Parts: sequence; C-alpha cells; structure tokens
Amino acid sequence: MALIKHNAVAPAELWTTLEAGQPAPAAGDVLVDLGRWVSESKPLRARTDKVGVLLQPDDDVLTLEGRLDGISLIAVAFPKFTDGRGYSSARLLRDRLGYTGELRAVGHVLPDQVFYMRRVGFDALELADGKSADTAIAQLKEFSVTYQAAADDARPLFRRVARPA
Amino acid sequence: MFVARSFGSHFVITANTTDAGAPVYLRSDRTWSAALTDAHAVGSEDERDDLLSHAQTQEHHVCDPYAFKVNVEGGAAVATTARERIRSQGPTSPLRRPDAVQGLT
Amino acid sequence: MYQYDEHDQRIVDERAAQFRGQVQRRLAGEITENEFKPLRLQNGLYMQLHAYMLRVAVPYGLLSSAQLRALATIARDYDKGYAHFTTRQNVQYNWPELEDVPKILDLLASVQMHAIQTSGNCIRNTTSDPLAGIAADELEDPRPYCELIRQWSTFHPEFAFLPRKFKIAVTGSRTDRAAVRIHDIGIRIVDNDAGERGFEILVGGGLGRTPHIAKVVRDFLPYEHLLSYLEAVLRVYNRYGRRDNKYKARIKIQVSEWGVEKFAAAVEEEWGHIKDSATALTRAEIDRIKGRFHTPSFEALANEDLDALALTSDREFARFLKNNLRPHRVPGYTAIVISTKPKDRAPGDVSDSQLEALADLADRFGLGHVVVMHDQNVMMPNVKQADLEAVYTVLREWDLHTANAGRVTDQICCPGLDFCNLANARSIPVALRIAERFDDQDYLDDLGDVSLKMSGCINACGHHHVGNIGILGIDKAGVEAYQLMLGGDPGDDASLGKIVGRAFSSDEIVDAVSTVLDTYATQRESADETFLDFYRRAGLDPFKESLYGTD
Repeated sequence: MALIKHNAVAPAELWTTLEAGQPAPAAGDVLVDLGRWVSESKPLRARTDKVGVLLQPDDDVLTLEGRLDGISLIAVAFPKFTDGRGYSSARLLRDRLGYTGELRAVGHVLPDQVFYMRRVGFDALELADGKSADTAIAQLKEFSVTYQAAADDARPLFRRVARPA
Repeated sequence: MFVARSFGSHFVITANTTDAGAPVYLRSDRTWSAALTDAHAVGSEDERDDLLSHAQTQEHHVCDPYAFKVNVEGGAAVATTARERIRSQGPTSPLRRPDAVQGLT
Repeated sequence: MYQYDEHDQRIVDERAAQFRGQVQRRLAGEITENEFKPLRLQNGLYMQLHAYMLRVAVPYGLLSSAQLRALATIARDYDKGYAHFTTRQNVQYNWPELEDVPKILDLLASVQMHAIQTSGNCIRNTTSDPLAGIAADELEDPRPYCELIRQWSTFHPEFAFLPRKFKIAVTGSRTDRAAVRIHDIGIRIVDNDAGERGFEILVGGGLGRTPHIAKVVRDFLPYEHLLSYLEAVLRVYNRYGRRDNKYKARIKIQVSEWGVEKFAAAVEEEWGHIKDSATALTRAEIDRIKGRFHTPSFEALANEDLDALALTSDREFARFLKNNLRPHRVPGYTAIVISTKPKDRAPGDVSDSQLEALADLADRFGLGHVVVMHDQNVMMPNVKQADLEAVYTVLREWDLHTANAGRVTDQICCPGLDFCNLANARSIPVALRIAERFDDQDYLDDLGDVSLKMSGCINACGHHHVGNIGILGIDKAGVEAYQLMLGGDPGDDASLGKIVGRAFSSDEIVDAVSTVLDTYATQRESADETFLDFYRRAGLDPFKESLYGTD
C-alpha cells in the first residue's frame, strides 16, 4: 500500500485504527471514527502521540466544523473506488471548514483517480494494494490545464489566465 | 460468478475479446473460439465454475467472462435466448451487418 | 461553432494521451478490466454484444464540415463504413478495436472533438435545441451557456464518481425543443418580472425504469450564478443520492423521495456558501464565450415564394418543402431537416460517404455546419431558401432527402438487441418493418405529425416514454415482445405515455401500430386535430377497443 505525498513515495506510517469500543493505547498514532472524535475529542487531544479521524462515505464531514483542533490527519475512506462521496468530503474540508492538515485518501485508491483527488484537496494518497506508485505519481500531473475551480485553486480557468476573446 | 439469465441443459462459458470486443466461447481445451458450436458444454455447476474461474484469469485475451445455459443438439451447443443467438450469429438487421455494409449509396 | 483556444485544445490532446497510456496498461496487464472499465467508460468506450462501441461527444449537436469529414474518416478507416446519431446529439461507432481507439481520439482531438464523459457516472454531454441561434422565439442563444457548462463539467474532479449518470439540457426559447423536462437538470433561459435575464432550473427529469418529469427547483437564477448553482445541485446529489440500488440512483429518485421543497432547500443551503465564490460568471466572460462562437453573417434577402416553388416542382420535392423546413428568423433563410430515416435504413445511421456529402453540402450551402438532432436526424440550420432546389438535388443523390420529418416513419429507434448489451428485444427490424408498411407518403402526410419512439429495453434510449406512440421491447420468457404506449410528448406540456394493454409479439406489433393510426384517422374530429390532441381528448379507450376488443 504505497503512500504518496509531495509527488513521491513516502515512508510507511503506523496508524492504529481503533474499532468501536477499543480503548486507545497509551502510545502510538491512532485513527478514530467520526463519532468517537466527537464524543472523546478531549481525552484524544490529550495524547502525546497523534490522533486522526477516519471518515466513511456516509459520514457528514461538516460535523467536524469547529472540531478540527488536535487532528493530525483526516483519512477519507473509499471502500469502492466508484463511491465518489469522498471527493465532496475532501472539497468541503478544504473549502468550507478551512482544514489545512493532511488529508489522505485510503481504501480502493487507484492511480487513475489521483489527479481528481489532488484537485479536491487530498495531499496524501494511500494506494490500493499492488497498484503502481510510479503510475500514480505520473498521473498527478496528467493534465496541464483545468477548467473549473476546485480545492487546489478556487478560481476557474478564466480567472487564472487571460483567455482569448 | 456470473451466470446470465438463460435456460437449457448445459452451461457454456463466453466472453468478449479484449482487442475487438468480439464474442468468443471457451472450448474444452480452454482455448477460445468465435463459434458457439465449438463451445464446451458442461452439465454441472462445479464444472461451470471451474471453467469460469479459469476464464477470469485470461484478461489479456478476453473481458467479463460469464456462463449461460444452452441446449445440446447433435453434440453442439445451441443458444436458447434471442440475446445469445444474436451474439453468436451477428446482428440480424441486414444493413448493419458488417459483411453487408457497402457504401450506402 | 465554438472556436477552441489553446487551453481547450490542450485538454483534449492530453486526454487522448492519457487514454493511450491507460489502454497500454490494460493490454500489458497492469490494470484489471474492472479498473479499466470506468476509465474507458469515461472516454465513451462501451462493450456491446459484438464489439466495442465508441460514443463521440458532439456538444449541443454542433458539427463543422471539418468535423463531419473526420467522422467520415473514422467510419471508413477504423469502423465498418458508417456512424450512428443518438438521441443525445452524439455520434456512435459500433466496431472500433481497442488498440485503434487512441488513434481515433487523436484524430478527434485534431478537429476539436473528444469522447470525454460520454459514459460513466459523471456529467454527460450538455444538449440543446437544434434551432438554437436561429429560432424566432428565442430569448437568447443557449449554446454559449452549454459551452460554459461543458467546460465546467469536463474533468470536474468532485463529480467523476456520481451515483449515476447525469444529463443536462438547455433551451433558450419559449418553446422547448431540447426536452429539458426529461433531463436530470433542465435549464430554460427566462426573463423575470424586472426584465432581468436568468435561468429557470428544473431538476429530476429522466426516462428509464421510472420516468419522471423534472420539477422546477428555482424559478429564477441570475445569469452569473449558473455554474455555482449547478455545483450546489451536483454536490447535494453526490453526497446524498442513493448508491444502494442502481435502479434508484438517478437524481430523479432523490427529488421524488425528498420532495422538491426539501431538495430545493438543500440546494439553496449549499449554494448559499458558494454563490459568491470565484466560480461566479461575469458579464465579460459570458461575452467572451459568445465571441468565441463564430456567428454566421446573413445576407439581406427576401423570403422566396415557397408555395409557388412547391407547385412547380416534382411531388417529392414539394413534399420536402412542406415537411422538412423549419422557420428561420432571418428572411430568405430556412433550416432543413435531413432525414436519416429512409425506408431501408436503421434510423440514425449514415455512411462515411454520406458524412462526406453532408460536409460538402454544409460548405456549399449551409455556412459550414450542421446540428445533430435528438430525434437522430441532422439539421442544416442556415440554408438560403433560394438554394433549396440545389440542396435537395444533392440530398436526393445521397438518399438523404426523405421527406418524412415529424411523420410516423420519422422514428426514433435505439440500436436494440442486435447490438446493445443492455437490450431485451430488437428494435431496428421492427423500425424497418414499420417503415416498409407505412411507405405511402400521402397517407403519412394525411396523418400529420405523429412521433413514434422505440426502445429495446427499459433504459429508454429511444425515448419511448415521450413518444405519441411509444414501443418498448421486452423479454417475455426468452421471447421478444413489445409494449405499446400512447400519448407521450417531451415538450412544454410534457407527458409520459400510457401502456395500452398486454404486450404484442414481434409478428403483431406492426399491425398494432397500424390499428392505432387507423383509430386516430377514423375518429379524429378533423384533419387539424393532431394525434396527440386526439389522444388527450379521447384517451386510451378508443385504442384499447380497436386493439383488444371489448374484453
């Protein structure tokens, strides 16, 4: 499961995803679900190691409004790559909630989606098993021009460049 | 495991070629033929699933294999649905058949 | 025609290059078919019964002569010598080979065309009125707005994996000829009471398994907010549209289940956050896009006496003048409907040489372009009335002169089970038999306008729900059968057809259509009462009686 950040393969990271009811270990970086972050953010924030939130497709990302302090990582799950809800979650996190921390796509993340993922605000991509990091890195730059605004640039093309009359 | 809605006494395995999307049928020697009459017709679900599993490893050559039911007449598989009949014989609309299309005027 | 700039060109070039890489990786086994499938779908490449099928985008149906020639070349060099026009103003090829598709995309890119997002769960081709730009009842030409929507939706990174496909149509006229009410989003250019120009936005139309007529979600949207409002609709759909059941995943289901008030409120809520963003259009940008459309310059002419011309001509040319012309706002000009429905051809099909002939015709007589109509015919919108005889002579040479526009043999017909992976029954053979049965042109003219629309399956690509006569091919225990429905129409007073009774066999269906037409012809109040008017007045009963008797 290659992890890509800053257009390159990044060293693997060890995050423990806590199941419902599983007590948080004393040490180590942990990922919790949205509900748990909402109900336990105080003790979780008090950890010395990092805490992140793992969002599922049907989680309402706007619940995180005003609750972003202390989060080191937001991971957005794509259980099936055809489920596109994570793209809106990412966009809302960046544009609406002003989240500036690491936003990572996880799950069934394929190299041919990374260009869109980058545009909606993902800055970290955990590729699905067996998928080529080289292909993914190349695809990050697949298009040199884009038409519409997204999280990477709030301006549509006509506001970025002077298009001919 | 994909088994198309169909009826008959036996199963055959079919797919479309990766290069042209042409319908092909799995022979008993596990090669592919364009002719339904060459298809290996099997009677049991186990045999069917075994062949289907094999077909699913052949993505270089074929896409989306599935099984469908046929009858066997004179030792050869016969399609029982309009869909599989048309798939095996080509479009029935004469003007769109590839071998009948010339300059249209 | 919209003139591409370097940015537009780079996008289609890079897309073609991207797909070339994806095909190579598929053939090398680096990506599975399951992973490749959405990629090829987002480039319009389907797997059908006998071959791949490539759907080329024709934004709002507009094709230049150069583009027509490229389509001809593709048909000739990479296919079996013909192409097919669709009900969304696109073009389809039925026999491309996978390895050739990158070359086809390169060729398309060289004439500013592409196959981007013509399939898959993404925003599809934005369609419009074939009379856009020339209709007398037009408030404003919708095509620049279609182009703005096309650009906004092309590779929109947030909406590439929607619950289901998404189709948008725009009309700029008081009379809707773009069928906006059967689209996921339908847009009408309107003026409000203060005389300001804007849009009426309708959401949730669509055919298929559960047809719906779109509902008005916003009466008036100021023009500069077009794209931000669409973005809000798409985001509400992407986040909350159903993903549990493929047959309940279109936005029409969401609007129906939520109710239009709740849906509209959710859109307004989302839109409130983004309407003042940089996505807002400016007057300058709209004017710039309009300026990128090469508007033809019309000569100052007077109208010809077409009645006199009809009287002195041969019967079939006279019929063409009567049936196949459409009014043009500029005196001395007319639009013409070029029929792809002659007796012996699958509706919507044209050969490579016919495409070349259309290109030459467009250059000589049509200001260089044609429009694909959503009834699968081709419109040449800008013909001088004085040139009609010369144009007709060429059309006749190429069997493009059939004078049945609007008549019952001007059928909409999908490819059906002869070709399509989704179909339950064949449609083309039925269409051919209908064309053969009703080949008395005088009889057809006496019947007047009757829209006959046929689909080979519930997906309704043939728009059977909105045909005056609709035929749906079904599978009854492995045997093809045909459901008949009556009274559909896609326009301003849109209605969905009602099934008359039990389905007909393949042997019976053409007789059934004949019975329907006879019922109308014998029972109408006068020749001025159209089929649709008769149905709306008399209902299904007269037809039930004549088709099924009094049981």
